[in-house]
Amino acid sequence: MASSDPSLSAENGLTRNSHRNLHGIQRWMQAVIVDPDGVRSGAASGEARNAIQSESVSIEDMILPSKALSSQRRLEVYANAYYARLLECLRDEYPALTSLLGEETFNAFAFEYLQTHPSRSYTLADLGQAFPAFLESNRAAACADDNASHIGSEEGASTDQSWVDLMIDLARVERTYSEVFSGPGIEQTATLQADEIASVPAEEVGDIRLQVAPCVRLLKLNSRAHEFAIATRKGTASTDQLPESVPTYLVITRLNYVVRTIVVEQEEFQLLQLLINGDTLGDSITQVAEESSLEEPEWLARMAGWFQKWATDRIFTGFQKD
Amino acid sequence: MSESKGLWIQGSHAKSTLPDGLGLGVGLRTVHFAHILNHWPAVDWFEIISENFMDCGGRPRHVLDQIAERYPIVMHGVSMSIGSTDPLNLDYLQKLKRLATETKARWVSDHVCWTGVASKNTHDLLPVPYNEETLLHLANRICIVQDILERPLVLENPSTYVTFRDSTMSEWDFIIYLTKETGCQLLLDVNNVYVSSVNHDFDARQYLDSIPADRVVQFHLAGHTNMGTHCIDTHDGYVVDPVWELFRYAHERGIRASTLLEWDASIPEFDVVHAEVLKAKSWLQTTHALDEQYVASPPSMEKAPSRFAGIPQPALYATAEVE
Repeated sequence: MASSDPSLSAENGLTRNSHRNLHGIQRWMQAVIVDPDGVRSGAASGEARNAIQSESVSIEDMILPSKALSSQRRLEVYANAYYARLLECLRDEYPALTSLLGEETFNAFAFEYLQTHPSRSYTLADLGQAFPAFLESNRAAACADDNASHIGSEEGASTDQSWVDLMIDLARVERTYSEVFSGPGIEQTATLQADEIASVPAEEVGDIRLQVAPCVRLLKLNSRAHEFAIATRKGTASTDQLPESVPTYLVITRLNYVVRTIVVEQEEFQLLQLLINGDTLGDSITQVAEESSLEEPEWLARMAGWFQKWATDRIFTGFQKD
Repeated sequence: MSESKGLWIQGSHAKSTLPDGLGLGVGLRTVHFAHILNHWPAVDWFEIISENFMDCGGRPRHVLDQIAERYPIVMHGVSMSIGSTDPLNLDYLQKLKRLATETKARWVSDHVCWTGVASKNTHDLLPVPYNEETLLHLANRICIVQDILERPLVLENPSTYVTFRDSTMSEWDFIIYLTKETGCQLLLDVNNVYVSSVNHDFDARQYLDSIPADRVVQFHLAGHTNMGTHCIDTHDGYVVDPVWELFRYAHERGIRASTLLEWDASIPEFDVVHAEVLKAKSWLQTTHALDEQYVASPPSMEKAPSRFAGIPQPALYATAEVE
């Protein structure tokens, strides 16, 4: 195959290096453009050198300059784009967290995240999947950093702990919103009505197991972070009024293709957890009732209300008898 | 280098088709969902980003299903990574095939590129060295993909920013060989030809002269960002006159294909995007770049402040709708 491009002729000294196969070139380029310290650092890295089995290859040995740009500047187009694209994607998924932290601080967290969690999926929808867990795993470091600025101040340390809680809560809420929005739903599916359970013979009803809608998620938070997440999306959030630090129990689901956030009581949340985990209706109710401080009539009335509400919110799709 | 004059065709919603193919289409983007569902605009066809729908069980997919009932759909992917030395992702290909069946996609396209290696994905359209080894590697993978999809694969020339010393042939020679070896078809992105011609100091018309006209099933048009020393394929504005002129040149060369406008950042109202692709009719009917049908862009349509000076496409993420 002859080349019709004169710039690529052997006369210009551009004959192929037979030791550089396609796999090696791709590993080299990827190592160079994702290096957190830039393409020069990337080209000097062990990963890049190993890729093409050379200790001394330079960017210029791999990439030709153009009339206007050096080899390094050309490669930096890809390096800059790599981080710009993925940070933008993460900011899009976590707008409230970005607002809370400020774009610069968010980017710093996200940049670190990308070092340990590079994308391994064909879809950008998976990129931010482990971000909440990443923040959680770095909780100690975040607290230590904040506490250092409040030495001798217990109140300051407590405030910082709450702030880190809020940060992680927001990440969990926003990731859940993404997954619920794009995942399977119940828009084309019938869901369980209260009278369907009532039709089960009394001696059998304790043994049924409820089937949860695929879009339902339960979240226990340390703050009312969802209020800030929703306000951010409405454009009404203010970092001067941060959510209250208080145990918060959420059901997040999707109705008519829009994500809904439902605040529930602690006991309602516990019962839902047991039911969703596959415990029987009887065992679930018994376990929560035993731990409740309410008298039985009040407890039963409250539970009846929960079942009515779950039917309205389409939490369950059906049930199974053992 | 002459950049965009911000041209704009005054309102035209009439059904408009070029002599060949599906006519003049628009890239389907989530910000336009409500407009499309409310107005069912007279667009000839829509192109979707495959990865934005293939795993989606929510509203984007629900909207797509409605649109697919009324308009021809073409699928355009960014993650096949046909040039990578990693194994092909068979799960991805099966999902792609299923979506194509469900949307009755007229064809399925991706890029002559790789997106990552060693199980990582950069989510960029990275260039391959144009040489015989790469050619054989791609040809083999294209044949596998075509067997799985049970249809010809349509491949797009990407915008690129580096030239490998290991390249031994031009991009257009590489593409010619690919079509001969595999029977694949081409998505000729005229903006990418322009961007790459600037970045690699080649003659864009030589590129178009070389491309086998009978293999091209689709054109892409888009805006880009001129950085002074190079161009970046940002899809964030109007198509510049030199790209329109290349488009007309391709047409004069006898390339007839469905034509689609991509606009992926700082996306304006749907009618603005639609009007931009409708300019193709006038460009093909006139012999001069400027025509009295064009007027200067209204001020409100000037490009919005950029998020970042030049993120090359793709940079696509669907944001959740929350109440």
